[in-house]
Amino acid sequence: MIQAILVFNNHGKPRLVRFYQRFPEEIQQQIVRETFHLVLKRDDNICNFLEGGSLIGGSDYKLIYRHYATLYFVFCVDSSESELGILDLIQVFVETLDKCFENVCELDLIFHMDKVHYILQEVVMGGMVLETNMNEIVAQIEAQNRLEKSEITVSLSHSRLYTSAGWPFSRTCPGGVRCEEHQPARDAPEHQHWRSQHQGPQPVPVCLRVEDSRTESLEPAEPSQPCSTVRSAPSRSPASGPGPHCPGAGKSPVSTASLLTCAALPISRTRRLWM
Amino acid sequence: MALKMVKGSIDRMFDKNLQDLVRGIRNHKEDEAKYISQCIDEIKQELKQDNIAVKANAVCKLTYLQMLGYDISWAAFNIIEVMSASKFTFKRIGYLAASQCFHEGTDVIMLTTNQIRKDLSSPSQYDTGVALTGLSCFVTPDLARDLANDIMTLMSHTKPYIRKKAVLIMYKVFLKYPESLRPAFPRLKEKLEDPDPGVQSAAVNVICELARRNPKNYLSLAPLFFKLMTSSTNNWVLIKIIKLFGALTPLEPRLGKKLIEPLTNLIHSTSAMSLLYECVNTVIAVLISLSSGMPNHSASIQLCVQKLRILIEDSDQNLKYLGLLAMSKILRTHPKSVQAHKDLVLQCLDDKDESIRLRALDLLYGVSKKNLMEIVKKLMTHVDKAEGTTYRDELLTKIIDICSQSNYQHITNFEWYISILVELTRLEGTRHGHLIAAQMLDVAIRVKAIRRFAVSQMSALLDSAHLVASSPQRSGICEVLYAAAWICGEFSEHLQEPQQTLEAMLRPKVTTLPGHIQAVYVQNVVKLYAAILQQKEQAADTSAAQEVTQLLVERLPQFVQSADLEVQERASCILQLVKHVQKLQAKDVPVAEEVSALFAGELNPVAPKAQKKVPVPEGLDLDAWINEPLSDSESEDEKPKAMFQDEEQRHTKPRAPEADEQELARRREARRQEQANNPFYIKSSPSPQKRYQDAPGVEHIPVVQIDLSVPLKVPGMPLSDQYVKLEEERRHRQRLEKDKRKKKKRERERRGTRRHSSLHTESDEDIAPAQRVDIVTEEMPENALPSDEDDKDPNDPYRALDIDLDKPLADSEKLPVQKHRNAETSKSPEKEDVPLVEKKSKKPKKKEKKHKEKEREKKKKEVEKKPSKHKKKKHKKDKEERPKDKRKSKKKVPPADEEAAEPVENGTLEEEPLPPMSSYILLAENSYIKMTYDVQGSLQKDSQVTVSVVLENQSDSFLKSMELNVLDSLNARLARPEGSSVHDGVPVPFQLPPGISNEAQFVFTIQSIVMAQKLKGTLSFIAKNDEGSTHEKLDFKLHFTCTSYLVTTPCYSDAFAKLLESGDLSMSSIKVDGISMSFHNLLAKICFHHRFSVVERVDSCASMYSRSIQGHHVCLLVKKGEKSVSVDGKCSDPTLLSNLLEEMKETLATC
Repeated sequence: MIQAILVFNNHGKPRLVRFYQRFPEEIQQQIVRETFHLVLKRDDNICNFLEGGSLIGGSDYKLIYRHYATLYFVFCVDSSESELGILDLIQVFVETLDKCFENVCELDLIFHMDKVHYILQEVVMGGMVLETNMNEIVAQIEAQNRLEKSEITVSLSHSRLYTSAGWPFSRTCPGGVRCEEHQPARDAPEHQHWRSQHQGPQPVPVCLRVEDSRTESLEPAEPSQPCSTVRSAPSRSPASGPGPHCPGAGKSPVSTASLLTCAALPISRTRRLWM
Repeated sequence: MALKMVKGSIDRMFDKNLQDLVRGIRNHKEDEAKYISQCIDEIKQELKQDNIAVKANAVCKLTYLQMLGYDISWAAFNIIEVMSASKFTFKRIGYLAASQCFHEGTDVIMLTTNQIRKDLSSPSQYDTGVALTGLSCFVTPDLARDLANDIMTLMSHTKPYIRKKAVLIMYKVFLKYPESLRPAFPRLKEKLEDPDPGVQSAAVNVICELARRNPKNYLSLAPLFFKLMTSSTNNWVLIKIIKLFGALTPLEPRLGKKLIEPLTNLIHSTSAMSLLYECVNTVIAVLISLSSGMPNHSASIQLCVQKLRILIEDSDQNLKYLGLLAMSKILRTHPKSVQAHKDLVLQCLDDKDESIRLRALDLLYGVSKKNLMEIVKKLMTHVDKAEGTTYRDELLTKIIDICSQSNYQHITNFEWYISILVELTRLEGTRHGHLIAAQMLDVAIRVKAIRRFAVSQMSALLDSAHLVASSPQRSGICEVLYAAAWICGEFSEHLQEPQQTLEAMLRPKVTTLPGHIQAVYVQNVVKLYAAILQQKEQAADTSAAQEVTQLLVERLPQFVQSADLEVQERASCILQLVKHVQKLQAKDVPVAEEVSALFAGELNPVAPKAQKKVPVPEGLDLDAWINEPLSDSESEDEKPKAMFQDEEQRHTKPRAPEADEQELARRREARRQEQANNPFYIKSSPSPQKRYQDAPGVEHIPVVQIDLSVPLKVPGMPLSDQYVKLEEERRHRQRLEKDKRKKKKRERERRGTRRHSSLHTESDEDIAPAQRVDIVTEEMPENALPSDEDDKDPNDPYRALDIDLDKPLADSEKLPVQKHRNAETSKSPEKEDVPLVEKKSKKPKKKEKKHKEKEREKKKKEVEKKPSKHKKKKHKKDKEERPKDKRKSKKKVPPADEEAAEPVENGTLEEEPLPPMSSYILLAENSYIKMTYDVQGSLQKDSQVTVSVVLENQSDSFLKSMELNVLDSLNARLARPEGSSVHDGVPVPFQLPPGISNEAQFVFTIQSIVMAQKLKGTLSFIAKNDEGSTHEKLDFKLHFTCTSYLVTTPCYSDAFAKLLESGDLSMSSIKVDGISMSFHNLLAKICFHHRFSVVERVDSCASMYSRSIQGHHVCLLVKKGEKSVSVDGKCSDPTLLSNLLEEMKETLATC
């Protein structure tokens, strides 16, 4: 069973909090804070498992986390889950986010928390893994978005509410996410742009994961490998090949870094881990 | 109006949506809380509007605020409104909010039941999906009960998307409503072979989760899972199944043997590390469960260890971590295979990753005498280097653990160990001071030879106490002073300079220590004082003795002023004592002897579980009453346990009152004598421990003379390193010596190391311990029981799911289906079941009957196969499988009977077992068939009774086409299927193979119930055997007594009193003589046969109550005289009462 799924950024700001066991709000916040302090202390090149201890549920529970760019994805699971399996699940979840948001970055999670929840609901339900096949997940989410869209076109009067919620999210929505992003003053790291088309006057080359540099030095010849090796099951992988969601694969890998290509594990690790 | 609408939509244009809210919060970094409270006010306004879109928007924002830690439960009702929106867009928002904030304590949650049911059956799969997802997060026991059936239907939905969600949510339903597990399980099992991989994976998921908690119930699924394991290619499913097998193998070793081969194949073939790792894990579990026997184990172990080594050597920290984790599992059973990789483990201790270091520490348990010092030395250097306190604390516990494991088996030099402990006290900020203290105490008490050394170290520690207890952060470590003070006091005879230690213990600084430590200080100061007095008086140095006394008198008042009660009390007590001694000393009276008499006696360590292990002597029933309890029924409430206080054993204050040696020896001898004379006393075979016990006194503990090859005192503060060096030298010397006198060696070994003689490994044998020390084993009571049972936690929520799933389903085990309830029936679940059952039997429709027949056939076959398994919940129809005369004592009697029995059982009548009773009366019998029957009324149908007829085939023939017909009277009529005439019979809905019995139920309509009556009837049937078939008939007379119209109804004494006071009841009485039966049984008999319940019982007098199906109240007062019983009855109908009493008289006459 998965007890909780937490997503927070490098500063401990929660971006997604999903408990599968009832905790009062204050305790939830406290757990998020403590978890944040636990994972913050850890270097990126040490193992991704943490004995949760007293945090949630006791010694049977483990924290399994991954650090993508500015975000930590933390799953709190008990001993019935396979540790490596959960690591893969986090990857599936993030890749799905990437597909649905087209090069996901922290801003997407900030402004569309509800959508992220809907995506998560197709992956994990009530603490148990519902679906691990990314194509299936994406298909279901798209179908639901179509359904939502059809409802919106019926009642145009409510359009103000839902234009910005159209899906996949329009990057050019007026007065939406976009404008704020382009404000010159950007202090918080989550404002960094990872999409090539959003590069401001001074593109910030962000390595979404510290190992990124290591990756490149290890395997310079295969920069887009991580995305494609997710699954061993042949029927599932082709759609998630490097092409569609690594738009800048051929160009300079750093400036076009989509969250996933940058944040994926170094190739030497991923190859072994994937199921 | 139109204007208002336009205005409304314009307003809405300016409503914030989620994005606006987020942006707003980010723009108000300084006054975020204020901004949010503003937003919440706006949201409250929005929620008041009628427009569902506005509400949904508001709820969506609330969900965001919930994530930030704001309580949104106040909006629960609005969330439900949004959930019930017709549009998917809104519904989804509502369910998301609900899943984030609803829980069992949310009171409006019960309002959602119908909405959820509607959504579950919605034609749109996404409505259903959203409802399922939401429900999975906030399902309550009530929701689970009400919706279980709907969800179960969804498990066979055409869309795999719904199926997999429905399957997954079933686990939550089971947790909340365990009764649903058995009815739903067959379908769940089917889903294991669902064509859709997602559904299959979900089913595996659920079953694995269930099986993890109660593995034994799922053993029967092993073959199915085995098949899945060998056929599936989905790694997720494989991992789950393999993990499940890991849980199952400890219960079924044969399974393990089968598993090894496919698992080994997987290990060789798979490229997925996650799968490989789980395979290795399960192989380890299998090997542990097999533990011994199979010779080809070593190959598997080798394979595992080899694969794990690859993982550990990997540069990926995750794999390294998991490899170490799995390695520690192997360690438990196959330490040798792990020890071969010691280099790897030690290397991991230097890893930069703390998690990995911790895991590596776990593996250090596999130490031996040979390498203990080396490993501890390494750990000590880590202790010095470690930055984080957690890791350092972990190291500290590990050091202590490996040193103290299996009774200090690996320690060859205790001086070294003590000095390690002393070194550990210099750690800053550790929380484990008490652990070190406990070790010091334990070693000092149990290793007699070390006491002198320990005392010298402890006195040094006390001397430098200011270092240990200087700053408040070090409070954890000052616990060691507790041990130090105690050891110096208790073993003061070994002190070199007691006076100096005494002064150290009386320093003013001591008063800053925690209370419990000061208390020990105070107490041990006196011990020291006693020792010093003795010493001085022997030396006839009276002035020195008086000086010491004076010191105490001067210093003790500082403790008297202590705020700690314990310290204060002890100090003032002792101060007075010392003052008294001072007076005596002034008169030149020798006092040393008397003062030291305060602390005379030797200390023996007692095992912590010793008290628990004292076996209860045969014939002693601890639950039996010593004196008869007061017969007063009120005394029931009192708990007799309260008379005795459970006394906790205290280990921390080891000084126990001790009878003097002779007395002890005398008692022991007497007890042995007694046991020898007692033929019922089973003597346990003497264990080595016990042999020691038999030794009459403490001085007989074979303490071996110390043969010290190491100088006892190491100059300066002891450094464990020096010991390591010395030890090396010593070993080297020993080796040389041994070469010289090889022959003598064996003899010496035997003499020297009694405690671990059996545990020697080859390599260990080379090392003789530096000190021949005797570790005093902890004292255990004679005949201690070896068992060490640990009770399961009764509050475990998963225990409710410990349900036997192999048992065939009974009819009554159905998920509750939504139905209209009439107000009367909804009182209690028991009552709810009754009309349901009866309805079925009353209006048997043809279809249903056929179906039932089939079921019965099936069940019968199963019954024949395993009659013993039917123990739990059964339907009425299954009753005949039980010996009929035991109906009363079991739980599955029809509810009415159960209620009849309950008041008695719950009352004060538990002294005697009840005789077996049956309400089934013989109806008719011939060579083919035997009929017994029972009549039951029900309060819900005021003019109907149900006659249950048990038909038993007594012949070799097959009985079929049974039909029961009754000649109706004016008053009573058999309820026949619609459309049939009054002369038609009612078919019996089953057939009877030879030797089988079954029960059929017939409903009769009764006009008047005040009179008993008889109905003539016939059972016709076809008996078929090898020779052919014949038509047979059996006539009978059905007797409806007045009793059969009564329904056991519990009644409270106040209601009962009101009823009697009302005066509407007519009265009548009977008296029966010559009754020998006890009153208790008598009441039980009346309750059972006449369907009364006891309202109150006082001595030999009881009031009872029952009610007829037409609502007559019947009250009885039963009094028992010497040899007679009188029954006074009151009833709203005089005829009914007199008839009832007549019937009762007959029953009583047989008593």
